[in-house]
Amino acid sequence: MKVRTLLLGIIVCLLLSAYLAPQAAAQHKYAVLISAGQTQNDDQMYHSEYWYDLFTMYRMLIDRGFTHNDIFVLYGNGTDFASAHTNYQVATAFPGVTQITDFPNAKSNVSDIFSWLSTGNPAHGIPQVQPGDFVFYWWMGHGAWDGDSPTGNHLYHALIQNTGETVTDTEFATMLSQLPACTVVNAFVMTCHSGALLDDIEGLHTVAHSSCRYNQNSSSGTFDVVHADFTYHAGSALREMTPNGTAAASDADNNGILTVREGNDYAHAHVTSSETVVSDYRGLAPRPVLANAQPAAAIPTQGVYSRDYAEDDGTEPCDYLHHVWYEGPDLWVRWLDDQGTTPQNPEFGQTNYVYARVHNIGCTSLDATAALSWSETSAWCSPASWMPTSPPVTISGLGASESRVISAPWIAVPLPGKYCLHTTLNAPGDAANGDGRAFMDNNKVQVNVTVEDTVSGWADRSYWWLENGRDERTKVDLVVTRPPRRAGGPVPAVEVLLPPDLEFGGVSGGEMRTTAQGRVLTLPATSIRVVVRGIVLGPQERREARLTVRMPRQARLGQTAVIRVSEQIDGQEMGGIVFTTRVAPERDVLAQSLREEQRFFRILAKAGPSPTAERLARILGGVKLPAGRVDFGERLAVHRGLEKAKVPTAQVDIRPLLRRVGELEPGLREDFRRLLDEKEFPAMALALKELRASVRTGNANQFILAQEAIMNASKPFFRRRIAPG
Amino acid sequence: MAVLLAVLAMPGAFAATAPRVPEARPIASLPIPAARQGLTAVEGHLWTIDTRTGVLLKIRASDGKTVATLRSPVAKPRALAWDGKALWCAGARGDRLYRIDPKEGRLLKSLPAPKLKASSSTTLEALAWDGGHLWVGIAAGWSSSLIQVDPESGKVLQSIFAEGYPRALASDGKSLWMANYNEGKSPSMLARWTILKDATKMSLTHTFVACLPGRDPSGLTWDGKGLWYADRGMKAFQKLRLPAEPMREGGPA
Repeated sequence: MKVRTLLLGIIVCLLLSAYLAPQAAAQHKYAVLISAGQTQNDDQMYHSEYWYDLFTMYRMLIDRGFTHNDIFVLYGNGTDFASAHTNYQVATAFPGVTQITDFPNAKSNVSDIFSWLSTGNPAHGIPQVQPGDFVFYWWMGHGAWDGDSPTGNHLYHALIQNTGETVTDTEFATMLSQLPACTVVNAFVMTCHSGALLDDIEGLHTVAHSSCRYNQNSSSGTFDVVHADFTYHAGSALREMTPNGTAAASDADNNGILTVREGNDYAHAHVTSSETVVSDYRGLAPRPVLANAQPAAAIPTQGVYSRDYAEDDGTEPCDYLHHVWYEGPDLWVRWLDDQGTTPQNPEFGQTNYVYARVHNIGCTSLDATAALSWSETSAWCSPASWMPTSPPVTISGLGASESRVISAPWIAVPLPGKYCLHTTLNAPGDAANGDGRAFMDNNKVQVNVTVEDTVSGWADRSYWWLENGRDERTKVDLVVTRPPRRAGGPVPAVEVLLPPDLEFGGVSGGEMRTTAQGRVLTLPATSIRVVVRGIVLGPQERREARLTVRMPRQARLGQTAVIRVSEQIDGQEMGGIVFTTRVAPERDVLAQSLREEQRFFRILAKAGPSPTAERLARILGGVKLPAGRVDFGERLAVHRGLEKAKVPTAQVDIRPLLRRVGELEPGLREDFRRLLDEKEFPAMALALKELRASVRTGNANQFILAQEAIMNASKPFFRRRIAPG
Repeated sequence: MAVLLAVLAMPGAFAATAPRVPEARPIASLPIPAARQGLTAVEGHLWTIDTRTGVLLKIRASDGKTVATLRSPVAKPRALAWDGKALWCAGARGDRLYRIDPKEGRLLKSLPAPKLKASSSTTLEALAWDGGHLWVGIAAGWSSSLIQVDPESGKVLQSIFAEGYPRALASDGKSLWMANYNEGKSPSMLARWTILKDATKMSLTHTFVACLPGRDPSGLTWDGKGLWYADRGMKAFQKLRLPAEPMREGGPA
């Protein structure tokens, strides 16, 4: 009986391993090592590393289970260096192997190796890389930063020292892009300024690690022999052993499986001569492992998706318990259609632009649609209540492994307040599911936004960087000025929020106080200039600051307040920004508000029932509202140096309409008394009272505030009606 | 016999290794106190820097006697070069290059020193005169560079990677020599380039020509007949005889 059980167990094990083996073997691992110079002699710093570092990486890969046939080496003139150090001799480390170098360094060979890997080249014994395979890539040599492009892309080139040829960042990107879509690439780049390469080679399936930032040099040190710091520590981390055999504790969780992330972390922590940088677009680094003995990395490679957070790799559900999933980088709003990528809070009363980034993590191209929508926060997970910001956007021919940014105008922005924005993606074979919780579906993204209004009485908050553009520690003066007040001109309240730990010499012309949020600099009404002297900033250091401009309630419509902020060093201006806040035309603001009110009452009528809301929606829908909208182009134009945008003027007097809305207030009150419970109704009663008062006095600001209060007070009702359960 | 067999059995025991670079032999030695930095030869004399005081010293090459002193135009002078008529001097911060009258120490000219585009720390380590232009050695990790500068305008004419830590430079007008510093942990080696107008072609002439006698080079100069070498670890300037040139040329095979 025992024998039969044992046999049965063996058969089960064999069947299981037969089932599992193809999965483990499905992914092949290859390596390309390029040491872009040639060592002539041992023990010469910034020279002998060409061989020592190459040998270190090669031995690491062999220890990790790569075979000699899996590793392709470009080095010097094509001949191994014969080191006097036993630890760096091919014959000693790899008995039976005569040479590890496959090709001499030449730009054509660098290009060819990726081309051959993409197509296969039997003549050179190079296999064809398949989608999903893993390619380890290491480059070592000299690199240079060639400044930045107008779009902020760092420009870079590397030198092949022993031929004098150069390879630019775009050429590197082209070479790597030859690999099949979905090839998982793990790149290590050891040159000065290598951080400048990352923005060119980042990708959906790439984890890249540079030896330094774009504006830094990389250095060597003497370990067992001379090594570039980065290669030494990265190689030791990935091998879990230094070249002379000392254990390197890089397997941080000590589970016996070293991930790329653990290797990166170890290298980053141990390189002290520069700051290493990791580019990991989808946060894949925790998944792949170098060791060939380990199963293939399970990296999602199917369909279209947008990220819920920066490291979201497309897994469903995402890791929403450990990440803020509603502030993701793939959905944002801009005031202008300017291709900017920094999110801005939607501006009430003007056309905003919704941007979404869509990724095809699949291995073939596809067509997709992106539905962009907004909702009340209470309807965050109820797709039926999401309202489109624009018609769906068609995305044609989204290539394999391609990321594309789309945008669409958002014309009808709701009243100031908190809302949710959503992207819903659909592609053939990869449709969005019915779950409104964005974290459950990689076809959906949600970000929470605050619609803001900068009309009279509202605060305009702007973030900017206090920056030291120099390469050395510098004392910077922050100068905040406003033009002398014209007769009748508004005097806005101006505050600057600075980091709490900011080190500075003193303040003149204003006051500095410390709050829980940070240091707050105030520009008194009587002052036109305030200076924070001697702010200590490190080389190229940037600190975030926030300017708040609050227009006085008595400011007249159309009036403008201009605040100028600049950084100065020894009295010389090094950088600055101008903030202009304008009081918008009242009629346009009200027209926009009424449009939103119409939408609100329509929803309320449908969800209610509320006969008054239905009447209100009909009245508001039947009125031809002025086409003009509050356009904050003027403020933005000053920010961005564009031409001043014309502010349209409303042609229709909407006061009578306001009065009709006011007349229906008692009916609305009765409806809400029915729709809300006893605890909820008092807030609504107060809001309706405000509405009535605003109509009576004709105070537009009060009317808008009352509208917002009504919407807020109605939320419990909508929550009950719309939220699940 | 057993020992021989055992040795033969050791893998790699007879692996061919790169030929060793021969040593540069001292043929003359000039005793000096320690704390000397920078070296440039002028008609039977050597100019150097007393690093404790920052004073420039003119030393007679025949007996080591100090025959003249000059105040440095920079607080912490680091490197010297002689252009045939005047001295060039620069500090480690490498802000400017100063040309000074060797008799009175009068400042004749100053130029902005070449800079590397990096936020990392860099130091100006060495100067040399190739007969028409200045060479400036800047230590900056893997970006360490040798930069040829127009002495009239200060314009950078060309720049090559130093392939080492450029502690000291010298030139005879045709070649550019560099003493490579290896953190004091390995002997310094003398590298040579043929001076060419094309930086790429010049880079490919890089070769190591000799092992230097010290590990902490501080000066190198060509006196018309041979190279003088200074080292922080040695209390002497040494005139060197270079081995037959070169072991091998750099560049593609």
